[in-house]
Amino acid sequence: MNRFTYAGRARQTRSAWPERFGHWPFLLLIWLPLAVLFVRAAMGLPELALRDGRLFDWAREAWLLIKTLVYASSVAGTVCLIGFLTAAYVIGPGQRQIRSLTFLLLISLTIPSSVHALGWLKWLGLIRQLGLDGVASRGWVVSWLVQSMAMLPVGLLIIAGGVLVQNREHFLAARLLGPDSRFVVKILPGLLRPQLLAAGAIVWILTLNDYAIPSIFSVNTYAIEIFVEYSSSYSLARTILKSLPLVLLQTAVLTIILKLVPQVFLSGRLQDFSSLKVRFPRSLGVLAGLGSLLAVLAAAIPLSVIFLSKEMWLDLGLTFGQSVTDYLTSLGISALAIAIGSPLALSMARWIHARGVSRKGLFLILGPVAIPGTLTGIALIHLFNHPWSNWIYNSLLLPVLAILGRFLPFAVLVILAWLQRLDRELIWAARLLEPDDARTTRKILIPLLAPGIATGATLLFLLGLGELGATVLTVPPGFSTLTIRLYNYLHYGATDRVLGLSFLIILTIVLIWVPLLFWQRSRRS
Amino acid sequence: MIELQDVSKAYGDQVVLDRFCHVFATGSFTAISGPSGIGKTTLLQVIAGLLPIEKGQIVLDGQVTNAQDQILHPSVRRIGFVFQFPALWPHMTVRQNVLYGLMHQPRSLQEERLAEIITALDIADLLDKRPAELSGGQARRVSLARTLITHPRLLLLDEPLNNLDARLKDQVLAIVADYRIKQQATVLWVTHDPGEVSGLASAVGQFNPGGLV
Repeated sequence: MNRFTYAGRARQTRSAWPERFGHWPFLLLIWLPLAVLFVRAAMGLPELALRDGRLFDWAREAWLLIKTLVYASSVAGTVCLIGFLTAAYVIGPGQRQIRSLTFLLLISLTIPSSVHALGWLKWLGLIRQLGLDGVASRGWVVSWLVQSMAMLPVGLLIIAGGVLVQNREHFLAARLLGPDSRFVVKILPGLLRPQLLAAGAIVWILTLNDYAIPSIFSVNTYAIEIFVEYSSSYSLARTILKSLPLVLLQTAVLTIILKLVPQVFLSGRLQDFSSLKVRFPRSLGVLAGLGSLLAVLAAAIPLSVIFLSKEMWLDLGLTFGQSVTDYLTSLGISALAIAIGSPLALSMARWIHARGVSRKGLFLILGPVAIPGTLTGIALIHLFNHPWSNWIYNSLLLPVLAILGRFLPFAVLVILAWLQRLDRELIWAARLLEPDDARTTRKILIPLLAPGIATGATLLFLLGLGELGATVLTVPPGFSTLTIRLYNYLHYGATDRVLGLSFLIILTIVLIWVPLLFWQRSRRS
Repeated sequence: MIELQDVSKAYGDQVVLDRFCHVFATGSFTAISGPSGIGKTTLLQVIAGLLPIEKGQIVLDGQVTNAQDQILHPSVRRIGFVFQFPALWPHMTVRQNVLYGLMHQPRSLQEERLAEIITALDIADLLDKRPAELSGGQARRVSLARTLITHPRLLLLDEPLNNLDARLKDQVLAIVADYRIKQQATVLWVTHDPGEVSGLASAVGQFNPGGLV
């Protein structure tokens, strides 16, 4: 005979709140500013058409767009090729080395691209001093080289991650049926096709939107053109009109790769390939070794130029002293972005998860990634520059919203990936025993998802720390961030100060990454 | 008594339950068999309220569990569910896992039930351990303890003997048989091999999308 009953608690209920309404905060925060931006720009178009006889030199714009697209495509192609060769080493003879390279790559991933450029400038200068005068210090080719190296960690981590989540049996079956060389050449590229395409598309989009490296090498790209347009005309309609081809192209590519997202980011578990020592044929081994060497260089060159600069160390105290306020502002903005963004990212991920991952849902999350940072900043300015919202417009909340607008999609994707990998029986077991969904969320779901939430939050924090495109427009008067100061120093040629600030950023990254990695490792064990 | 009246459930285009009808009498022990992927697990999950149904009605002891787009929360159905794998929460100790379903009950009742279940399932030494420290058999017994400690009126078991050795299989069968007699519980046992519960089952049904045959 039961001594207790559920009488009084027997309630009719629907699914938990975030699973029904979790998308609304995300839509309001991320999509509303963009929607307002495009509507207001559209409203301004007729007036613009009447006022200006000829808006732009379209032939010039089209030519610049083509050059930019070729540039971004060649960077994406290079990253995929080197990324594949290096990632193949994960199951080959150099797997231990590649694993130890991961941490270096994670750090170099968050080094501002301008510091990558600075590192390569320094090293290319040294090569010229050795008598190789043909090595250029500006122009498309050197910009392509540096951009490819700066983007390599992104591509490599996606592709190598793809290798590590492959089903072991795929490899074993192929090895039983043929030599290792055939497996690496014929089977592996096919297995990694989704990761290669996704890495290529992401690097392509990131390159199209980055103007830090091209501007340092005196190369004019379409992203620079958009920034210059708004800075010179302050016309919303003109800026949007000019950025439209880029936004449409990026949206089209993003829509195409959305179907790869579940395969690349939302499924599979890390496998241990340590016992699987695939023997590479000599020629392929050399290529893979070369790829790995380039990956090491991509991480080592910006780090070396920072750590080997004597002047940087001499000026370090002064650089830190002059940047304390900006540093604290940057930390504050990024921390606030985490505080606001993490619950929103969790709610949005739960909403998508409850409905099953679909292309529509993924577009809602990742669509804003196709919007250049400059436009995100402009959207927020136009949404909040009103008397009723001056308290946001004139505060540090605006750059916080800018960071969320740009990077919250990545945090949602990370949490969604963990949610998808979570055994649903763990949640169901709780739902069978506990009627309060909020309690199930607090006691079971959040602890189980903690590593994913922490990773998403850390990503948000680190990307926010290096953001420039949107924050430069949204930081209120009297404030500056570390990245803005770094870019200003770069503009005035204060190289040692740039390196000092980069060191500060790396130190912050390491201080955050290392405890996170140890914590995750201890949880796994 | 559980009544399933014209229950339909589909995953996209794949119809798993098609106007499924069946009545499980109170205190009965039904073994449900059928090929993999046909929908046996889905049947248990919709009865438990873990998955919504598209059409039809499920009635538990006279109470409609799904009406007008609202479903009765799984926890208030008083159903115990044994999943194919133990599904223990890794961040909690064995004690916390087992007592989770009694969290709102008086401490004295919690202690009484805990003492009862740890003796029956021989898990007294495991209470302060984490799931990662348990063997497969220990984890399975803890999972059963978490399910049975709330005294569910209906016990749903989804291939609970998978990956267990012969000794453990006998142990689990004995625990379930004992529980059913003591609590007058209704048992639905999904299995590939009806022979494994032949001594206990009052009925054996072959699953098909419209009902049990």
